[in-house]
Amino acid sequence: MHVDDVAAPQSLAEAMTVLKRRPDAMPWAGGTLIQTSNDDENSGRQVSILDLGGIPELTIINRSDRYLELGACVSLAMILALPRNLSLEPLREAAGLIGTATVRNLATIGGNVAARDSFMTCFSALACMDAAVELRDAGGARWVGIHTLIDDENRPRFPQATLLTRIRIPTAPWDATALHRLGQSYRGEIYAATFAAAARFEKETISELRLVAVGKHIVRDRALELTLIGKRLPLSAKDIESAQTAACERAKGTGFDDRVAGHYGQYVAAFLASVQEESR
Amino acid sequence: MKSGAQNRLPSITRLSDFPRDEAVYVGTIRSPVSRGSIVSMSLPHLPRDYRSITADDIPGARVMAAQGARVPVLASGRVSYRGEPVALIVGPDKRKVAEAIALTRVRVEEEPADYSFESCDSSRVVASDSLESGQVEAALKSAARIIEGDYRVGPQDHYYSEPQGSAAAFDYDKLVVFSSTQWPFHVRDSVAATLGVGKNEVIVRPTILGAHLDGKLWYPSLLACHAALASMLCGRPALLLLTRPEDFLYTTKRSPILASYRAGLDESGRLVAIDARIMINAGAYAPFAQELASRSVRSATGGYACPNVRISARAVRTDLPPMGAFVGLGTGPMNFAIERLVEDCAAAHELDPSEWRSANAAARGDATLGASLKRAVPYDALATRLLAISDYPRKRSSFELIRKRRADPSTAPGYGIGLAFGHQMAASTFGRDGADVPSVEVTLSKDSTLTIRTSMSPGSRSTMDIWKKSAAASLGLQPSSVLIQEPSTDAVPDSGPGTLSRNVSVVTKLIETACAGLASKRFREALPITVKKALRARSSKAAPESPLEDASWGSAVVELELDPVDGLPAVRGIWLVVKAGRILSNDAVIRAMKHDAAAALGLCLGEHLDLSHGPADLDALRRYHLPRIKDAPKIVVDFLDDDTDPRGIGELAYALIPPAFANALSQALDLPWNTLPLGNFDHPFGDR
Amino acid sequence: MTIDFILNGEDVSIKAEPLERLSELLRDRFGLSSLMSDCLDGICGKCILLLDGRLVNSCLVPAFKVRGSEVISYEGFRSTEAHETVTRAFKEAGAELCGFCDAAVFMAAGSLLESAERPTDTDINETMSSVYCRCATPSVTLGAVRNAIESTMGGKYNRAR
Repeated sequence: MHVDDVAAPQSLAEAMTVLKRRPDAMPWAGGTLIQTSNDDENSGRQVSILDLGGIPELTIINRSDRYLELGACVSLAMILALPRNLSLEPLREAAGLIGTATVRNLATIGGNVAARDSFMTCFSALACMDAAVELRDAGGARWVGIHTLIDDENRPRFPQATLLTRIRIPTAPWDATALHRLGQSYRGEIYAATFAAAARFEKETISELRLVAVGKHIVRDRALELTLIGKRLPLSAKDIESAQTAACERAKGTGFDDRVAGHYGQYVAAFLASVQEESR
Repeated sequence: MKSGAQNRLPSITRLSDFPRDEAVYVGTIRSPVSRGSIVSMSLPHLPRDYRSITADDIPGARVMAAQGARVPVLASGRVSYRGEPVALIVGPDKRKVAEAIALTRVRVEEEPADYSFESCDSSRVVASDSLESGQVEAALKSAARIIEGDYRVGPQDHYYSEPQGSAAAFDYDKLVVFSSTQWPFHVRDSVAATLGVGKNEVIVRPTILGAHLDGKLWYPSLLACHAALASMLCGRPALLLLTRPEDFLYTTKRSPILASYRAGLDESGRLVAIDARIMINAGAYAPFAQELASRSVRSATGGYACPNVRISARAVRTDLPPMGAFVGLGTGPMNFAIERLVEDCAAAHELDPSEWRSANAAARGDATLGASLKRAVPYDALATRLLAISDYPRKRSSFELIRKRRADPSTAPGYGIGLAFGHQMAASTFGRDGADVPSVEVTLSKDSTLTIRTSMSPGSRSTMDIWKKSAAASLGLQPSSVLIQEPSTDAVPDSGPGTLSRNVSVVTKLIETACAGLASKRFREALPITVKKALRARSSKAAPESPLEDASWGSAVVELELDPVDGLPAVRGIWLVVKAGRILSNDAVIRAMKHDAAAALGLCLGEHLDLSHGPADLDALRRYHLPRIKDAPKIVVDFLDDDTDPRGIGELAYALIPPAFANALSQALDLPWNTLPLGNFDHPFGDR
Repeated sequence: MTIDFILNGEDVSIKAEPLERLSELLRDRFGLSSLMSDCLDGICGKCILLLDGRLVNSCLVPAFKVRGSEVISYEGFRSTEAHETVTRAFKEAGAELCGFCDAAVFMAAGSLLESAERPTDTDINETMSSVYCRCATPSVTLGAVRNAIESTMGGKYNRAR
């Protein structure tokens, strides 16, 4: 990459002015993904950098009764340092899986969510937690569900000339959560895929369920979730097996390779089986 | 020798600290393919003060001797592995050197490359060894049971603390070479030969080694030749530092092996025959191939008695970067093989693995490896202590019950505990053919200071303390009066390569002997007095000695559990008991063994490297995971008291932990696991 | 571009390419040999330093990010009480480091002494695991760090003098 210029706005308003002038500017928060990316897409490219590090609004953490709002430049280390009484699983687990402690001091939640090439670990957790993101562009700021960052082919879709500024996470606790890496990076996947799940129970039935897998694509089978919502706990072996098969097929259909899809099915089954243990 | 600017050089401890002010940087142009003939090389236009160096510029020997191999300093005509150095570009700006290299095109008429070693025609066998005694075929025919297995240990990267390199600069009329090397005199001799100068015109000043895992026996000499060439031809200090990717992709790795065994057992489970065929991937040029083959043969039966053996080892040249030593020269992988085999033998007879080992351990007089053992292998003593501290018998029984009684046989039991027994051969068994005669010098001065001179790095502060205390005790001095000479080759004698724990065993002994010599002279001769002692090569007329004689022994238990979701193994605990002669420092031994045990898990878990389809690429580096501090399980180390001479322990953990891990994993999966690293380890609920 | 920042307590100003890695810039221009240039990928941790009080991999920090910041490398950390505490604890524990990663290991340990709250075992494990080195004995290193934390009574220590 060759850098034309580096803009270092000190406020969101300034940042938007820069983006308006240079819609192709590359937002740079922690930069850990950019610095460790080994693709050649950007090599030789002339870029203009928008350094977000000096914008105080982007590192604010706000709590209300129902939500936690994180500025996009809140580091993963700061997330891990949030009070344990905040119901933030599986996000906390996701953040803890990324890099090392020193990398997490640099890496930001916004950078993890807004990655262009692949869905990263925190995305899976936030998708499970029904997070919303605030996007700002020339037209103003708007809150949208995190699912709007997914295109029709289940690939990342981040709008041009737009900044991700805040992430809002409902803090109502989940009764069961899980987060696991799918496969190992030593098996040939540049980006480790991630499985995330969350469930709530009410009167020994599943009242809410989220099952997500992310990598180059994202898998979330709402039809599968709906077939399991309302079922009494513990789930039958037949239901679990059907869920595993459906999840695996869905993942294959979405673009995951057979091995990762198989692992996803196994994790879904393991999660559903563990849910029935926890409900006892 | 024509010299450059005359100046006094600063002393450096790390290559990366070499002063850059007047230096030129040395970059390497490499072969883009694994095998073929060089057709042409087109260099970009180089600015003033930059130059290229090819084989044609080498004033002396174009080929470097490396323990049985002849390695081109710079390839000329033919290339033998991808990444092989073909030329150098030298200049004052590191970035411009890198740019010039990126613009250079080496055209090679490519030939089909051969990466396979598990079976091959004899034309690629570069070294072999064998051992045969008794009537193996007859014994196998009459055996009550035959156990067969193929055991594989893959390559492993040393992942040095600092990527390799070298620096060279003139100091008056001598060329001083800085090298992080286990064998400073090999560096000296190689550089002198390459430059076509006398050995006394080259001085090697070793820099700190860090954790070398035996990867710096000969490769640093090649890099030193490059730096020396650059310095001589440019008349300036020269610095060559490989990047981490270069070091990972192109320097030596552990030689992968395939050990195929057939073991015959009698009705009671005693070994009656072993037929083992060992294939070793030696890479290109294959330095140390003969050592690897010979030591593999000598390690193939572990510490067990067997009246009929037929063992053959063949080291195969392949079109991969040169392979070789990794914490020893072949013993570790062979111990993996034999310890997996014996576990299968015990299982076949439904015997407790420890009882099987006890029944089959080589006793005094055993001649499985040719010569009679003077002492029994200490399996029982080690096992008594180990089984007690690890609670192996109880845990194993519990895990066996879980395995046998699990409701769903298609699932993995999930818990495993594994045992392994093994040895590290005596250091004196290296180079016994006479080429290596390590020596040490000690000088007692008038002011009652004692100076020890050896080219071997102590390797640790603990070993340095041991040398000092040992020397001081011999002469009634304080350890603070003992100095260790900086191991520059113009100031110390050649103590040979620093491998196989020779720094502790051989050098300590030589220091003691030399100091005893001093003690006998000090009141009869005027000070200063210098005594030099050399380790005499064993006379060819002496009675043959078992390679197990004077070995250090150890036994290990590894306990693990499979993650219930992803099925990956997590090690819960490691226990090690060692018998290695007189322990010179308890704390140092415990620390060293704990360190080695944690590091040995790397082969078991994240250090995966697959070269079966060709050389590694950058993705392989990204996927190569060293264990981190937080990954270390509980490790308990104990040792058995012993009054005999101290023996090396540096290889033991690496020989014991992997097979103990694999034995535990086999129980946890209810499936024999005969390959390390884990590699394509699939979820146990899936493919098996 | 011109980069003005505070390095080990002193104001410095240099010209650098915006994407030049901080680790290489500090090593090449300021001779800070404690910063090893190894993986360049945020994996090995041998280039860690304090950037505005956060322990980070300087190979991942581009020059433009340092403008107006305070950088403390090992060379600056070396003169602090925390360094004395850490090195003494390592020596007492018999921890032998290889000479390549010492600076990074001591910086990592020192950063734990600086924590506002007493570091938990998880904090210690995670922080010390930021440095990749084949030489350390894990239990000895962790023991030394715990002892260092104990001896500072919760982690108060002086910044660079």
